[in-house]
Amino acid sequence: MMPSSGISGHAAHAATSGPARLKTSVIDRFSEPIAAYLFVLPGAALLTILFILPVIAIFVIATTNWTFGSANLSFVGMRNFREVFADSVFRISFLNTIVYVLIVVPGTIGLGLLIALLIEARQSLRGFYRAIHFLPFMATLAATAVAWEMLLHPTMGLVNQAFSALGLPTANWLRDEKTVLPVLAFIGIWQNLGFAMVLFLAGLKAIPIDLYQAADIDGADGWFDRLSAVTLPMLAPVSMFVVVVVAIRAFEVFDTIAILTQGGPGRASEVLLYTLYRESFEYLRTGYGAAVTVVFLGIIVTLTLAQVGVMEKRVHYA
Amino acid sequence: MHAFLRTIVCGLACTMSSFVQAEDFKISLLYPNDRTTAGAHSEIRTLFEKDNPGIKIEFLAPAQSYEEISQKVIRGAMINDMPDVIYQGLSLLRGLVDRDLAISLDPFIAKAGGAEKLGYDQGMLRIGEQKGQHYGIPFAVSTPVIYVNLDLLKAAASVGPNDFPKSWDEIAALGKRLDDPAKGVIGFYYQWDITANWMFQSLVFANGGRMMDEGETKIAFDQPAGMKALETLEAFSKAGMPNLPSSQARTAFIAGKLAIFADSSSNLGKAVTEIGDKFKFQTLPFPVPSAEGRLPAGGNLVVMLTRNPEKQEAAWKYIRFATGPVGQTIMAKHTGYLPSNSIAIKTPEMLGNFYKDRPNYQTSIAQVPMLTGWYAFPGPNSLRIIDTIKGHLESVVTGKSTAAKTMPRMVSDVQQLLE
Amino acid sequence: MRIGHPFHPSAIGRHAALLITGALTLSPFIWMISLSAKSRDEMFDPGFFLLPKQWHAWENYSEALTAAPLLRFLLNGTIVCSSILALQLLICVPMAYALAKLRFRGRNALFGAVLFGLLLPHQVLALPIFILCHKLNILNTYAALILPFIVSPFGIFLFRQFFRTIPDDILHAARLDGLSEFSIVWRIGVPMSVPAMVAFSIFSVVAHWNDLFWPSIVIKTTQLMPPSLGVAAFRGIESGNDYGPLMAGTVIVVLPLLVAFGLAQRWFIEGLTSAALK
Repeated sequence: MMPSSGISGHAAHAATSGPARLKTSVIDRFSEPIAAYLFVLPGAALLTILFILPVIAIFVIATTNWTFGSANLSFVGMRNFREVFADSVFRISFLNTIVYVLIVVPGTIGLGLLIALLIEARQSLRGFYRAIHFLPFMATLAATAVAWEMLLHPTMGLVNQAFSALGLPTANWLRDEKTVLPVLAFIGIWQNLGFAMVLFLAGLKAIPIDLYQAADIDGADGWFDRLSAVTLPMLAPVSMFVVVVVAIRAFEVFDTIAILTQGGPGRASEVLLYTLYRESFEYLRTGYGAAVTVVFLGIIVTLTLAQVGVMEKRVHYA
Repeated sequence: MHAFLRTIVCGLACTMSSFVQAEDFKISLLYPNDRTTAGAHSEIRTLFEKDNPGIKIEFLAPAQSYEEISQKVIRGAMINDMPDVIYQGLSLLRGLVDRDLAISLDPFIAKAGGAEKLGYDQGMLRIGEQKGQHYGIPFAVSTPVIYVNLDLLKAAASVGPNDFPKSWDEIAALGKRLDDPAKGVIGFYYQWDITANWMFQSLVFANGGRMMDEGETKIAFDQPAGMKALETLEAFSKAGMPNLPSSQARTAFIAGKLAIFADSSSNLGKAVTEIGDKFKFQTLPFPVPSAEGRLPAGGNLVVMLTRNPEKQEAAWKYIRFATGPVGQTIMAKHTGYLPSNSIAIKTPEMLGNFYKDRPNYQTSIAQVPMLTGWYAFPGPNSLRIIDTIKGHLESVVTGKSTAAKTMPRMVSDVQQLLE
Repeated sequence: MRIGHPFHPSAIGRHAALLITGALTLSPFIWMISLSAKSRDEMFDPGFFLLPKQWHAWENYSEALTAAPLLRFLLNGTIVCSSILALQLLICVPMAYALAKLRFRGRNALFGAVLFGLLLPHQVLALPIFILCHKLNILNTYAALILPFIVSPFGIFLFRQFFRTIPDDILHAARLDGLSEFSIVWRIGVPMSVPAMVAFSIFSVVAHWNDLFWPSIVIKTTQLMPPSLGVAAFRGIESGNDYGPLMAGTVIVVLPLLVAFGLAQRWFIEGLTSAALK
């Protein structure tokens, strides 16, 4: 099944010679970990300094009542955490974030995969379609937000004008608490599908053509067969990555809320990272904000581990 | 160890270099990003540096909001690297004073001959007063006013500026008449979500009320004055006022799509330049029903942060210039803000004639005697309190809840955060 | 050559579908460009007009270029993003390879740390890293914009996934041929993962080009601002937004990304060729 390459053919031959084979496997056992440690040293050191240590600092701050800029602080133990769990804003924020994720992740991945498959299916205009669908991801939201605000304007926006012309219901999309979260989720999908698409395209390109040829010979020649026998399984490692990353990005949505609604109307679009940011940076209640951060990290670690655990089992590598 | 040594060496080098360059001071300055005042700051700096060779004013990248200025300053305080001088929004001065970051300007004012000699009106100075001292001098002041599109008023309701209604209920009713969805015209909008509940405080203070009592132990915005303010917002909602993002409301007025607009007078400069003579508009006074009614001043003041005595002298020279007659004249001519310097206002060649020719600015000037400070709540949760109040105001403005039901909730939420 | 295509609906169906999704995706941009050419009055016209009745494009674009040193911001963005990308590849590629293909003690723990790093939103880390930058005395420099990002858990994770798909026999054979692990990484691993490298490069550049939050914390002087901060300069505080120049500024700031993406596309095609040779 594995495609033969020039290198492996040649090496297989060389591998059968006796003493040389013994020598290289001994060296292998020693040099492999050494090489590994050399490779990971800079990255691991930077990870520790830039990620692990700051998080430990956050954990410590979460047990204090420190407000940003104040010269003194005192330990308050779990008081901040108790406050977090009792805070109705936190609860609403959590629920909103879950709803947002449940809409954005399937939407982004479904559309991203579909568009990637469509683009790769034939040669014509690939670059053009790739560029169009990637554009939302490339533009800073700070500016596209203004365009969205205008499009969604209740009286002067294009969306409502088009909808009423088509007989569809209109609404004050960003300022009606029933519609604001789904609309933000739609914008989230719009922003992120380019991201998913590019990753799926990379995955599709990495599938060797011979696999399709082999499948063809085995009798799988319809597009559906090819999809299920070759494409989707070979996309599995990439798909796992895409799902995890898109889910994390959705869970950590911030910009759209910060720019468009600031959590409103009345907390209908309040999401966890925005709550965290506001407490720490705007209200300057850094100790409490750190506690929110710890709880937030706990939730997202659990969710991600669950995802990775489920998917690693189903993904088989070459 | 190395880092420690490096810091020492750096520190020594810096102090030595500041001795060497004792004549050429660099004062770092942070102001809020606002493209109209940016022009004013540039011009003031140019003139100041011409008159004061040896002092250079370095502009730091402007901040996006007053809140961001607070954050930058406080972050800077943590690492001992604050700007020397800042322009901060009135409501956020308290936060800086409570953290012991702002420098009292009283000694400097006294040494320079006193407030009156410098042209600082007592009422204006009061705005920058905290704990009995003056920590900031107002640089650009705004008051709440009502902008009306006279053409729309005349065409749709035959109302002229002299028969404009004086009470909020009537104004809202008039706004309702002027609504014209077919042409995309909104009749009336009250800019209720300006930062730090400024427009809500306007209603409360205009009714003679307060946000908290004198001793700051009890909430006072639930008194009749505050209750009436909340009911006024409810009336707006009932009259069909939409819920617009603030930037869109301003743009709509300038585009001639909003007939009556209650907003900050700071918008005036821009409105004048952008509207030109596309339509006739006028500013009208904010209704102040109570005899003891006041209005909260908006805008920003200059604050000194540097603790280095020599830098303080240089900074004071700059502050005095920017808030003096010349600086204030420049500021007022570039923007729609009011100057705090009475010499500038009274001198004909400076602003006297300028305002005489521009009646729209006089609305704000006439309201100056009623000005009082933009209130900030005490304690570490003061910023969260602002947002909490804003949330409740929103539920009233959008019609989700009534004033009667919202007030007790608002009070209890704020009370919790005050503890 | 139909056998090569894994999934082929009819050509017309494909174009129709992609044009519909494309149009929906583009609509805010079309609106933005349209706004960047309009004058303020027209912006609020209730009717829907793509083309402005009065072309205000010259005014808006020149305002965008002069009111703030946009070209300087673009230069800053280029310097910072390319430095970040180069360092990221240097550090993350070997690490991903080790995590994917080499056995060593602590591998799982390290991968766990990488995943954990993936989850951390940058707002959370901002304050401690700000103090760290201060201690290193790099605040308000390019270094402060570059250093915090040179280890990218996202990159490490992505490359690791791609390296995992490389057949082990190829690596064994290469080792037997006498190639050092280091050469294996760069001469075998990377060429076989070109699509991933290209994808990552695109994401990295886009993310840091558009980053508003971190630069607003570490940059004090206008000369060093990256493009995102610069565009934000068109939002005033109390006097509202200047939509025309803001849209124009945004168009100017997105253009380099579009060009870079267009160039990167060719590498996608190269990636296809190398995969076909496998």
